[in-house]
Amino acid sequence: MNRTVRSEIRKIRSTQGWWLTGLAILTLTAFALLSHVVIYHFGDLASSDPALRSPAALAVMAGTLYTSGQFLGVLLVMLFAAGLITNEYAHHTITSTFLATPRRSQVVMAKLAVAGLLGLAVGLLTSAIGIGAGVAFLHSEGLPSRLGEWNVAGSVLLGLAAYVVWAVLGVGLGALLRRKTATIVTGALIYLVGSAVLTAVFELIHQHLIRQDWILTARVIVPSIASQVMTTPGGRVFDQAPSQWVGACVLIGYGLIAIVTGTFVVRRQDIT
Amino acid sequence: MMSSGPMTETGGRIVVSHLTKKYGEVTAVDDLSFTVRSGRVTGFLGPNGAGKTTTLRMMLDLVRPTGGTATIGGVRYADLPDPLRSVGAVLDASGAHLANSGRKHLRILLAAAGLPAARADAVLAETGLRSVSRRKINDYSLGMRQRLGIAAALLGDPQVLVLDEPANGLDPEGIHWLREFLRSRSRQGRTVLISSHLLSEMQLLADEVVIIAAGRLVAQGTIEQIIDAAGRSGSGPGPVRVRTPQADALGRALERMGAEVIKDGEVLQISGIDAPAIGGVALRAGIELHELTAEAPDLEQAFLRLTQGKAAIR
Repeated sequence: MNRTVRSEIRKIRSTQGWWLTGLAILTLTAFALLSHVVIYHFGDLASSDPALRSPAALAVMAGTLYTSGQFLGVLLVMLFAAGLITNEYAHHTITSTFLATPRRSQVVMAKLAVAGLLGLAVGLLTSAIGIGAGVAFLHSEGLPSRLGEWNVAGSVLLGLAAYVVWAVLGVGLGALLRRKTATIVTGALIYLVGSAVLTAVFELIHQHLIRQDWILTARVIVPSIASQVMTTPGGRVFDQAPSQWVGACVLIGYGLIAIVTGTFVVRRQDIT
Repeated sequence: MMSSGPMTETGGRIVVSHLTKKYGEVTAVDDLSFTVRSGRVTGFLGPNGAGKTTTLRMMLDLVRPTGGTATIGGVRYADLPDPLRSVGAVLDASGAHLANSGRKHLRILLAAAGLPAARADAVLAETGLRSVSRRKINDYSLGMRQRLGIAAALLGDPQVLVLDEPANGLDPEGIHWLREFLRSRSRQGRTVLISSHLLSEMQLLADEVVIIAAGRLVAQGTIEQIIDAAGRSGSGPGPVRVRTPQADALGRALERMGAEVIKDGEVLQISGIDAPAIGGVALRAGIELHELTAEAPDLEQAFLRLTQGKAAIR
């Protein structure tokens, strides 16, 4: 297993995709941080509305600053993780990979492990940047960091979990679809557009079929909505949203489904 | 240099047993059984679409058989503890990330196989790629890529080599090198199985051949045995070449006796009747002969006869 993981790491390091993706994530993080700082400094904190300076609002502000850039960062990590599988098919390296490691589930597990670790590393790096810059900003505004508060620290931790779980989902998606472009498009659609479209579906059901609020709460079963519920600091993505932990459980459930179905599919495929 | 496993006869024996592969309605490989022994080069021949590549890929657990088994040294490929140390495979020339250098590509495989990274330089030297080892594979010629595939197969210094059309893209010098190389491997007691459509090349290289058509075994044996068998099963003796100024007259006389005649100016290619009989016919008809040669049947003719009428693509 160690060999397979080492080989996977070598594959990633041997091409340019990893640092291009890393650079994109760092740029996005810096850009998101900057825009948050500008909005808070000239907007929320300059406002005379006391509600914007309530402890709850300030906790959301801290959590948002610390997880800056995460929304698109997670997307890039997922697409990169999917590439760990789709690139092998695109470049026909899957043949030599399976010749060296004919136990295919071992190859998938190694890719999952590497993707999960990469997700964690990216999450830690962007959180470190977000927390460093965020604490400095709050300090300059005369505000505490609130890192000791559970809902703020929890947001940061759940943000890390989002990176890891979406990386795993990316590998699973790549295994299911194999084709590079199809996987990128599907992944991006699921992550970016899925929530809007499916929210509309749930609202239609709520209006016309089952007029009960749990239908709206049930939106959390959509992976991208689960992810938003999970990572939205303290606040609520929508009125009927369940707690962040419910979102986390749903998303981890999808991660497990991706691992199992992805492994199953890869084991059965003919490599021609 | 790596130590290779004990070179026992069974250690490198490939046994294909009732192997079958169906793609929907199409049967690509149909109840195929044969054995490949170590210490010789075995050619794997068949027309395009006969199922050669599918068979080789089933041997290597890349394609799941619909039925039957293939084992190497008694076990399935996927159950080999260190597959690259036991079997080296050359499948297609493009199985590498083109942005990588040859050296990086090999090091990825070495890491996966738990082999020392230094083997990369050793096999690159062995396959004549040392000078381009740090260049991008994208810049390699087809022949260089083919050599890189062979280099990858040698990483674990395996007892068994399986090669799918390795001569494609090699220049004459490369083909000569490959031939010498594979012969020396087999002389060391190793197993070499090589598929090819280059029959003349096989005649020079292989000790034994396995011929398949339409997914089924047509013949297996030494080249002499195959040629003999084809001679017996075909339409009588091999072709005879005759040169005569009275080609038309002789051709008509022979055709009346049931021979097949192809005329090209003064030259006749005659099959279905042997050389003494042709001489007799000419003598009786008073026809002057300038040449009468019984052509030795070669593997190519044997192959064509054996696979005749067995449609390649169903």
